[in-house]
Amino acid sequence: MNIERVSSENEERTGPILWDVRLPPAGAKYLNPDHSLCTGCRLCEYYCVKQHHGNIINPELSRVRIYHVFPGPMAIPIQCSNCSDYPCVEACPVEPKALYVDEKKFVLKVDRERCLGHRCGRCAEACKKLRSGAIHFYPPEHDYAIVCDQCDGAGPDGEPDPQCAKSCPFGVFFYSTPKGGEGWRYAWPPERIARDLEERFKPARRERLAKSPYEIDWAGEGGETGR
Amino acid sequence: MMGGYAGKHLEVDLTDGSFKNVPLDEWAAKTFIGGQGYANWLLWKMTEPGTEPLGPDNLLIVSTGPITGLAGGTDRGDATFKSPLTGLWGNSQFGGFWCSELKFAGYDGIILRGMAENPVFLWVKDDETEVMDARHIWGKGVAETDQIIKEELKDPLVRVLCIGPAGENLCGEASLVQNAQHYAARTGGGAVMGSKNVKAIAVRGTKGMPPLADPDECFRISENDVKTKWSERSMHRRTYRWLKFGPQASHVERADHGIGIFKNFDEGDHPDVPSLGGPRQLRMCRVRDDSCTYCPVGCIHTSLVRSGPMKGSYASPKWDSTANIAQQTSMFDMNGMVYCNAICNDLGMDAEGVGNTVAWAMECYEKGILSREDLDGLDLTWGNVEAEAKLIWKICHREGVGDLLAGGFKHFLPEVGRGSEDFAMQSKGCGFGGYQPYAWHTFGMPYRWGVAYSVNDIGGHHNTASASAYWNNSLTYCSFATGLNDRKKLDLLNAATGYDLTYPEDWNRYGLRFILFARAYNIREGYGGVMPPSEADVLPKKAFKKFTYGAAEGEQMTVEDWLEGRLRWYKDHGCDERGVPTKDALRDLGLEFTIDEMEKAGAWGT
Amino acid sequence: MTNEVKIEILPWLSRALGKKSKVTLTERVRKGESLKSLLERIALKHDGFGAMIYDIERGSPYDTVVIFVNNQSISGDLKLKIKNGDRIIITPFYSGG
Repeated sequence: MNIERVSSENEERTGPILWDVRLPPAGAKYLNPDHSLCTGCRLCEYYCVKQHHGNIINPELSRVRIYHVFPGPMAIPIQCSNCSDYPCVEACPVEPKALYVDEKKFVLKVDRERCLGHRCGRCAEACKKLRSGAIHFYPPEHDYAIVCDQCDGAGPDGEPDPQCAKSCPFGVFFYSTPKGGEGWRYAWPPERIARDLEERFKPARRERLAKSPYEIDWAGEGGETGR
Repeated sequence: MMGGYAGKHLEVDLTDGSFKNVPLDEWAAKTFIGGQGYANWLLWKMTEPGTEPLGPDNLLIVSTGPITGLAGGTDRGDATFKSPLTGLWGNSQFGGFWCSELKFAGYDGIILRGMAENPVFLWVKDDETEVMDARHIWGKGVAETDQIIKEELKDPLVRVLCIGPAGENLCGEASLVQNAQHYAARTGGGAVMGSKNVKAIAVRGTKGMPPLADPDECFRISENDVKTKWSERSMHRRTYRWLKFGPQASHVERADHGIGIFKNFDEGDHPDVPSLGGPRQLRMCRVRDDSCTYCPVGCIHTSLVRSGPMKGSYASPKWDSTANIAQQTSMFDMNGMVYCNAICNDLGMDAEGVGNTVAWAMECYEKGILSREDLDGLDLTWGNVEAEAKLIWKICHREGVGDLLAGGFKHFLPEVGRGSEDFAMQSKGCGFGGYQPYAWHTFGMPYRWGVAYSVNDIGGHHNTASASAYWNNSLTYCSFATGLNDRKKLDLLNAATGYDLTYPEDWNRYGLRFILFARAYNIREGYGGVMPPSEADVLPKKAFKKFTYGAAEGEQMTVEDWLEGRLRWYKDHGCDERGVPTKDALRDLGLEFTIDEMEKAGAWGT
Repeated sequence: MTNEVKIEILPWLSRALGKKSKVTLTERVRKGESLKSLLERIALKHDGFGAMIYDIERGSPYDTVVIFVNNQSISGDLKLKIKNGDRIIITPFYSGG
């Protein structure tokens, strides 16, 4: 399997971004969505918000968002990919970092007190420019980096326990430990993921869902409509 | 303020481009709940009898209910207007993602009035509203429209409700479309939007769900809903079939029941039906499954034509759009079925409705009532995919004979005549749904479909005038992939709003109120020019035929059967034998305010 | 005087009695007999009826069976008394839209 170092310079030329640098410590897991399975039901958003904010409904607070990309539509879930070079953490100007990686659990954490919020926004910008745009803010009530932390603390012993993975009816979210070099994850914007899915699975993506019958060569291709 | 509601509607006057917040009327909300019920009240109050459906005074009301956005199946909207197809109450629902977004933007609904001078689209983002130029999008299909608007507004999370060319061309059966997959298909809402020169309504809402009376209870019930949809019990058979095959699973099943529709309702069973059924569609064409907000069923199954001349066509056919487009016209051709659906999908046309028109035209052609010349040279024989596709295209673009047919049954039947009324499978101008009229309506109602078609307030559609259906349209809640039974729906409503409604007493009471209010509106409008209602709540001759083939062998609904059933329906629903609600029933249900105008329309006079 | 009722079994439940299209049974009923008793009798007579329409063990029709008596839904009331001349319709629940 082709393993390439992640960098912003060759972003366009790389294939799907693969992780080679820091192998996770034993037991650490990543969320690895299979975008081809998503139907756009957004139950992940519902349970994400419930886990982090209690019994309220507001998709803007979800750490995972479903985008409906046209041509299509195709439903594409976007959430933090735990890029091994963490350009978001690198971008955080606060010392010590307000956005940092918990090295034991390998999850991204935000210090809500020290985070400067949407007026800074550099982590979100880095993610949007370089990766998939998985960080946002919700001022004024939640003016800190809203980003997936794998539901850290939700587990029975306080360990991460991603609710999206538990609640997705279609099995989109794989929460697993990659074994050195195995597996890859997207850290791309939704349109790019949709294009890649189209390449691999060839569903139709057209601006126009149907050609005019006056443009069709009805006698062509054997003349059979194909039953 | 009651929980669940956003507390206001957005009224847009297209003539001067102004926006106005209309506070929610608490009495009306308690009396009519929301969605269809509340919109009917707005329509009654804000329009005069005799409004021109395609004129500036008609309203297009697209609205949500108090539980919209709360659980799976609640991201549903109701479109209410005066219908250009029937001249009666126009009403249709759609799912997707737009309705919860509208609620999260802080609105219970949008009311369109007037007429814009040039094509526009509306942009609503929380409290900001704007009229945007849509001249560059006018003429585009619904998928391309959604894409262009998302790009132009630079927000991929914008939800778009739009029309296609069929709505722009004011076709009587043009639809409103959400996310290019969800259709408020029937009775021509798309034409009303098109008549106002509105291409789309784009919404973005970031405020989340409005306060709820009892949020913990709401969550408890809606999580139950998710579990029930996936459970072994109750709806599991239906849900499983729909997960696997989509509603198209019903085709073979319905033929086995003898109640399918084939060759313009000629037969109820057919040996070739498996060629169009869900299992075959799964193997040949299915490429994706999609859901609505928070629903784990994923019943939108999208198909792609992979080979042949129609290769590349992309559509999400459902039960009726398959039955009426393909089985109705004897087109046992999977690719052709997907293609014709794709045309309707992209052009924003009601596949179910237009299928009935095409099937009627085919029978006319067979009987020599319409000649090849009448049909612009189309050899409109049964099962001819090319001819059907071209006729549908012409109808959506109002080209040639399409211009005559685009107006709908009430428009072209008087023109064509010559006995073709006998096999025009419609009632009050709206074509039938996908069930044979003789068959029993077994969603729990002891009437035949023919009775239901004849008394339905929008005309001959199968989503009938019933407490269940009208409640679903008002809550709003999907009547399709249901997880909550009626009692639990009311529990969720009470938990969200703080209401104290009882089951079955209030459920039935409100249900009857919704039904009689719709009927009252139709009477006020003159019932399409045919009064009393019993003169218009009728069926074509072909509805009474005797069946001879397969599972339908020996079946028949006689005129006597139908009349008995219809009279029973009238009596069971607070109406007299002329189909007019009694004054007692109206007063008892809090609808006394309708009596004056109904009287003026001659409801109880001779 | 014999008390008789007509029972129409609509497709596809008609397959319980081996037919693709509607089956009409004529059954004698005892005075004051309940619907439940009648259904059980027929189920004991016809295996298919017991397999597809009425579950003898559970003492009720299967979940997706709808029953009308004289054009009224029974709404789960199996204790309903059947009398001479009653018309019973047994039809499968179906839907899809």
